[in-house]
Amino acid sequence: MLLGMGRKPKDQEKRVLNRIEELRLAKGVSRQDLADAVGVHYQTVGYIERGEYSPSLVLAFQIAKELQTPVEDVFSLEEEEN
Amino acid sequence: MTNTKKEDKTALRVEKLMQDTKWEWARTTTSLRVISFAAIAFAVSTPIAFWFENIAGIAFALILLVLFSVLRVALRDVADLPDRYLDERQRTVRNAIYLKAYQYLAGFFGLITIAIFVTGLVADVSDQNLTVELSFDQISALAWLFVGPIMIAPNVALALSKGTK
Repeated sequence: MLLGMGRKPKDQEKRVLNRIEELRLAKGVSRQDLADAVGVHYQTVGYIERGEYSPSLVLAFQIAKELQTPVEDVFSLEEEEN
Repeated sequence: MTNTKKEDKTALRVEKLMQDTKWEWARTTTSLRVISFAAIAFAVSTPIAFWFENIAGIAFALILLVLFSVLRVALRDVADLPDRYLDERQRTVRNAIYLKAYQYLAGFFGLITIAIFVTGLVADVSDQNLTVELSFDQISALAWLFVGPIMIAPNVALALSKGTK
């Protein structure tokens, strides 16, 4: 009865894709500047850009605000793009 | 007042550590692995050294402390800093490695517990009473058997998890 319930294994979870690097470079903002603006370490921005870390909703909205782009234009689920 | 001063000092130290580039050589996958395995080797051998020779034990313990310090700087102290100094990804990483560190420690101390239990069982079967007399050096050895692994486990878990990425 409980089969099929619960969380999917990590490798089957959908990835969050983003256009942060593209939008950031278009605006001439460095990784460090963006990191300082949203209050994270610059490496964290790199992890998010590469899709190795999915940010919290709060951080996602902060990043979108800094890039002056609606959050849904910055982030998307892997499935939507395929 | 004093507390705020201490927090300011810590914040300054953390800021410096987060921006640091001097220790990049220690942040490569290979370096992190080498330092971690060296730290594990010294954490295991320090109690043995103390058991037989106090001076050797002190030397091994000092090397272990140096390796531990290098590991902390290389990992920007993420494993040991309180929440307020870490961003959300660092907190997530830190929380995940504590589970790993717990598993490492459970395995290590589990093996020691089994060894003690088997020794006691063998003595009981052979109708012997185990009497252990310990010198100060040997008490130091037992202390380091706990202190060393507990001290390095979170940083080693973090270093090895970075190495597998």
